[in-house]
This record gives sequence, C-alpha cells and structure tokens, in this order.
Amino acid sequence: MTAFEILKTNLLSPIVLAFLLGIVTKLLKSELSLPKDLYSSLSIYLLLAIGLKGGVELSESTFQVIAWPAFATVVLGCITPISAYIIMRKLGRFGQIDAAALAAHYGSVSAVTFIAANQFIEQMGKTAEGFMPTLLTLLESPGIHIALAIGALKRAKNNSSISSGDKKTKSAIFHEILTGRSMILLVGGLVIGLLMGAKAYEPVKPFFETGFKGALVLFLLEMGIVAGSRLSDLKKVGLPLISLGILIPILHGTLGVFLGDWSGLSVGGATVLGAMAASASYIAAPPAVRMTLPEANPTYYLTASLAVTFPFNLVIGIPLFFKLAEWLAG
Amino acid sequence: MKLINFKLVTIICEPVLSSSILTISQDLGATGFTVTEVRGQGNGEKSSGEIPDLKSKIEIVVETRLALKIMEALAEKFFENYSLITYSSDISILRPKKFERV
Repeated sequence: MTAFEILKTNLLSPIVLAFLLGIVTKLLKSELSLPKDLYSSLSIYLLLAIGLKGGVELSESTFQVIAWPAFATVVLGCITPISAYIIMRKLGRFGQIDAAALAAHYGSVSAVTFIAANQFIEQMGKTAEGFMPTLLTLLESPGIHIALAIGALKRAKNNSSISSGDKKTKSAIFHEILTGRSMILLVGGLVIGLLMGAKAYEPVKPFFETGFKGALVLFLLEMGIVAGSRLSDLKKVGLPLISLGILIPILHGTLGVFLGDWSGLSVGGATVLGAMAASASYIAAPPAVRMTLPEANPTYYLTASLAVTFPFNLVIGIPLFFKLAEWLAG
Repeated sequence: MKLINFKLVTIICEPVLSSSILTISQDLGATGFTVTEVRGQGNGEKSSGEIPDLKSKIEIVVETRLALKIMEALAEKFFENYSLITYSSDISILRPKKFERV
C-alpha cells in the first residue's frame, strides 16, 4: 500500500470519521454532546476490555518475550518527559512551570490513541503483541512523575517559602495517579485476565469484544466534540505551541518505533509503541498537573494535547509510525 | 421549636479541588458537607482542566464564626491560582447541636 492509500484508509475508518463528526458538530454550534454518564461508562468499558484482553494474552506470554520491550518502554517513559520539557523551554520559550506541565502531558500516554493505533494496524492486516496493554501501563506513570518533579523542583527554587503542605500534596498526587480510574481499570483488568486465563475469559469475551469497536466510535464522537470545543483556544495558544504539538509527537513516535523495533517488537507492536510515545495524556495528567503546578496555564496543555496532538496522531501520526516500522523491518 | 441563625457556605470550584476543600473545612471544624456536580461559567481565564467541563458545588452548614474562618482559609490557599467562588448565606436551622463537633 502506498502512503497515500494508507492515509486514505485511515481517514475513512469509522473512528476517525466519528471524531471528525464530533468536531463538525461543534463547528456547527450544535447542542449535541454525549451524556456525561455515558461518556464515563464507555471509558470504563473500553479500558477494562483492553485490560482483560491484555491480561489473558499476557498469561500466554513468557518473561523472555516481554523483558526487552518492557525495558524499552520504561526507557521511553523516562526520556519523553525530559525531551518534551527541553523542547518546550528552548523552542517554545515557555516558562519553567508551563514547560513542565506540558511535559507531564507529553510524557504520559493517551489510552484512546493506544486503542486507535491497535485498530489501525488491524485494518492494515497486522497484529500487535498481546502484551501491549502491559506496556501501556508501564509508560503511564514515569512520564507524569518525572515532569511533575521537574516542575516542583523549579517551583521550590523560585519560591523558597513553599509550605510544608506540599509534601502532603505530593503523596496525594502519587495516590491519584496510581488509583486513577484508568490505572485501576487497566491494571485491574490485566491482573484479572492474567489470573483467569483464556478459558475463563470465553464466557465474557463476546460482551467485551463484540461491542468494543462500536463503543469506540461513540467515544471518539464525544472526543471530537471535546476537541472541537477547544479549537477556539488555538488562537490563544499561538502558532509555536501548535507546531510543537505536531513536532513532539513526530519525534517521540519515531523514537518509540525505533526502540520498539530494537527490542524485537513486530511491525504492529512497534507502531503501537510509537503511537503511545507520541500521544499526550488528557485524562490522568490534567488533574495531577492542576494540583502540583497550579500556576501553569491549563489552556496550553489541554489545547495542545486535545486539539493538536490527538487529532494529529489519529489522522497522520499513526499511519506515519506504521510506515516507519514497516521500513525498519525491511 | 425555635429557629437558630446559621450560615450556609457555598463553594463552586474545579472538581480537582473538592477533596482538599473538604479536608480543610473539616479540619477547621465543619461537621458535614454536600457536593453536587454543576455546570457553569465564570469570568476566569483558567478553565477547570477536566473533561467533560464540570464544576463541583460544595455546601457546608456552619456557625457564622466558622463560616468566615473557612472562607478565609480557602481564599488564602486557592484564590490566586484556581477558579473558584465562595459565598455565604443566612439560613435558619432547628438543631444546632447537629453541627457541633463531638
């Protein structure tokens, strides 16, 4: 398939079209939005489904197979927040606190981008390793922690009168990241899947797999609406952040694909790892950043991750990483 | 029965603040609270950073003296960097003992 055909296939996939419909809905100033409870239910369903399936497949993998990809993922999780911070400081000329807040988002993962990448490679007739959801959970927390630590350090330096309450806040944030909805569902699902194995999964499989893609379409519709409502903020954040919102995913995604290929992942696996590295969190990171770095402007990080990076990855980034993974694999 | 004058402190804030606000008000002596999810818009530049964009409305029934103490504590800690509003209103209650710390 040529690059153009791949892009076209991706653009005409139901999830991308649903996302675009969401944006159009907002542009037309329609009242449509998913009820909040449905949005929450869908995200619970999607995350638990990935966790369960990943856990079952993990139960059939051996440690040797996972070891190197897991190592590569942790390395990736430690590099991306630092590189994002440096890029935001040097190229974007953001202040220390805003740069750290943005780095927390670019250092962690968007689960929806992960799912979208899996759907995409399936469309391309490839599969990713069954333990990819395990890698997703590994990549989630180092990124946020490293970036928030940078921010907290800079803050302490600038303001020597940091109150003693900050220690309490830090443990609260650690608690929040580890017990956040997405972590509980993903890790919980992985453990359940791992414990029950393929045979016990059979009876619940139809519920979690048959409806998965449909649920994803609905979820992406809402994502489109949310991203659409942020479009007006694009003017506020300015061209530099928009450009960096595209440059960073390309850099991180490329690094992810290289590390994936190096650690022995298949073309599908390397593509998904690249997409994970390229993605910016918008569920776990925003509240954590809001609590630790209250001076950072939320308009920057929410607009960059939701209205720039997510759509970019969904439409162009994922196919790009796939092409790169194919090229690397020869 | 006699009606007693009390204060209802209302705080409308970004959801991420809810738990800290509840801890602060309870540490100061409030005995209970009510939280509801609401939607709305203020003049603040900073949006709440939550998806979907909702706010929390916290209501606390306290004595006048404590109402001011709680509001001052919240103002000092959160007004600078977060979007929240807080106000108090006069209410009448029947059982002041219910709002006393035991």
